[in-house]
Amino acid sequence: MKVNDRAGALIDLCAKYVAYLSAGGDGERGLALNIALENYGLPLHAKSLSTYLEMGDCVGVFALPAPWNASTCYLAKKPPQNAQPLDVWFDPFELSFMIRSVNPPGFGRATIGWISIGPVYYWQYHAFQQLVRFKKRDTYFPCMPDFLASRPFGVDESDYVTDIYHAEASAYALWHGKWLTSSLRAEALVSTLTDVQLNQVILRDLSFWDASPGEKEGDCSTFGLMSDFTIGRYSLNEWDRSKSIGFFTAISDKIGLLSEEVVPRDSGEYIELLNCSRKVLPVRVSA
Amino acid sequence: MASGLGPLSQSAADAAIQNGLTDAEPDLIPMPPGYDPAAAGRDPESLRLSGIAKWNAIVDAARAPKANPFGRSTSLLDGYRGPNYSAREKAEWAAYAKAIEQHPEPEMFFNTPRPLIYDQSLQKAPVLSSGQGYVPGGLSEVSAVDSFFTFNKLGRTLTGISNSAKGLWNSLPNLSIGWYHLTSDGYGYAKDAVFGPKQGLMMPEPYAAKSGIVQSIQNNGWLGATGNFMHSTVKSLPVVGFIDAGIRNDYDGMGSGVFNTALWGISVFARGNVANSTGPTWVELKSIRSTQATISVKTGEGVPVLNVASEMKLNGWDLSKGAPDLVQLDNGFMTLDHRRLVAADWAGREMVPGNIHGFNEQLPLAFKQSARFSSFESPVAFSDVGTRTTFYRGDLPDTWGQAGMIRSLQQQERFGQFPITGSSNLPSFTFKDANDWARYINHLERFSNQ
Repeated sequence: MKVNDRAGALIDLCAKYVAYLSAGGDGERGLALNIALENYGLPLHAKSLSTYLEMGDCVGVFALPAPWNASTCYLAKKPPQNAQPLDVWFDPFELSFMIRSVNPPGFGRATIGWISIGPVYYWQYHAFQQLVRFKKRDTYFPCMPDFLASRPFGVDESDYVTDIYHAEASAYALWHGKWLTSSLRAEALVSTLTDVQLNQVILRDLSFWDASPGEKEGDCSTFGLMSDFTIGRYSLNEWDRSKSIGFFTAISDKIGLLSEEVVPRDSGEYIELLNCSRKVLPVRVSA
Repeated sequence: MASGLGPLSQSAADAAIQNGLTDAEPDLIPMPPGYDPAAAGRDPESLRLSGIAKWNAIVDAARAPKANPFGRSTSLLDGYRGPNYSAREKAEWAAYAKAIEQHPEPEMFFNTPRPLIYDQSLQKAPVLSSGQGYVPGGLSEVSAVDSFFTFNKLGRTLTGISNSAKGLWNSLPNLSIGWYHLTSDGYGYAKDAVFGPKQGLMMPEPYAAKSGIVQSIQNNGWLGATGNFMHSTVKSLPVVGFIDAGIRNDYDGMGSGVFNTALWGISVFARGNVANSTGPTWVELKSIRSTQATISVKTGEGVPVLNVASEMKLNGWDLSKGAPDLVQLDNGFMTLDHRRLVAADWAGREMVPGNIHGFNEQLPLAFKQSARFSSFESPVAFSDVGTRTTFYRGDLPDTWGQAGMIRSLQQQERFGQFPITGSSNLPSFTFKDANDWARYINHLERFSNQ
């Protein structure tokens, strides 16, 4: 696909996804989104969404491709309660596949939950940026002026969203009722997945924002998959960002997916979210 | 037959362990009936030494830290039973905790595979005013009596009553502290009125109230203070406290509800340490322990902590910008926020506001549903002896005390030794590079000349 074609497909996907979420996951908008996903090169996302819109909550309708072919795929509005380890859930709002994570020996039960397969795409983050409503807090430590602002994006650089602040990534996850994945969860995942699966979840050419705190108060940390399949951690300043840092989302069974009724949402020191992906408040439409 | 000169039979050892291992001398274990060492061609002395060695081996084996009783249940195959431990697991844990108490670990390491109890030289187990402290135990299986008072609903209710009775007794000195603070406040304000405020390094320092009652009136006005008093008193009334605890299935709380009026309404309130309070309380900065070793000089939009310190120095602490969460310890507080406290320290403020939470107070749902909560994953396995909860890597806290301990453990993971209930030193500044340092010095000079 040529760059211009790809840019066109991306712009179309962003617009269709925004419309879909604005309509509360509406079926008609979903069908249009389905085509946009296909055009952008995400046929499995398109197939999962169309099946969900057609059948509602369902399980095992189609087999997942390798290396996930041993996993049962759930298409459901909320995370399934009876899923087995390494089963996969398609979230029809974040439009992401999440894997059922477990707690290998030495890890606590709070690591049981769901972790998204692969980092967050730019189009997913863009829709969040368009739709999120938030209130800045009056604190002693004001946040950056370009917080949650759009930044130049090269469509040929990465499919995944990068170059955003930790606080922005954290707000994105909370907007979808989830958390950032932590390095500890990633370590638990390393003990659970095969190398091939791991390479799909934790891409090697990116680092990822970590839910765990950094070295100093207010600092952030990132983690990445090392060549020996261990997890490496790095501490960064609070407002650092980089084109080599993405993120992915997670859910702990201890808290579960946040209900759409939980608004406003406490997204840390600087902002609170006034809406969420499953309950996007109506927005003004220009004539 | 003379007693105890032969090898300990396996059945005798089993019986000794089943009956509760004691420090009984192996000499007291009788020879098997009819056994004659001389007839068997054995030297009685070597048999005696062999018996002692075998006994000691059994004692050592029994006292060594046992394998993690939850290892199986935290495995991949058996990790789906939800957060509720069975009674058997709880009993196993209690026995395990006691066994480990005999062998405290001096340090916690990142990859330590089994739970650890506090190193008592570093970590002081909190003893709350309600008497829910940790009493180190010896090595033994959980007896029926222990089990009754630990896990049985009626037993826990009785424990709550007992704890509250002890708390009532312990509160008497606190009550006197409350009166002492009230008297000191009267003297302090009278002195200020007559002679003027004391001159500090930078500016006059008016007298700061010590009494919780006076602080509450200053912060909330007469009406608000009375409301708070009524709120805490009503919450602790026997019937109300009992019903509240019953709703939460808190059997210790149900028992302690009987005594809480006296404890919370008079002693603790007068002392100024109001756990479970709904608004900020002013406390002494020096009574706060940090759960963070370092902070960055630069924070937020490049705003140094020293700038915030300047603002605090000129205008005081702006309560509209929030107050740190403080966890009550027996001898002060443990904080989960630091930057503002460091700024307040630089500003020379002795009293700072804090949202006070009880050590065993449950974290509110709103906190658990916040983005911040995800940063409280335990980096190591450890045991909270206060609530008898074992944490493994990645586990999340349920109480404010656990949240503070996990924050401290995150420091311990990075810096080696760090007290689990926080350090008495405020975090120190760190600098990214020489420029960072130079900016800090510039700010420091400006601040000093302010």
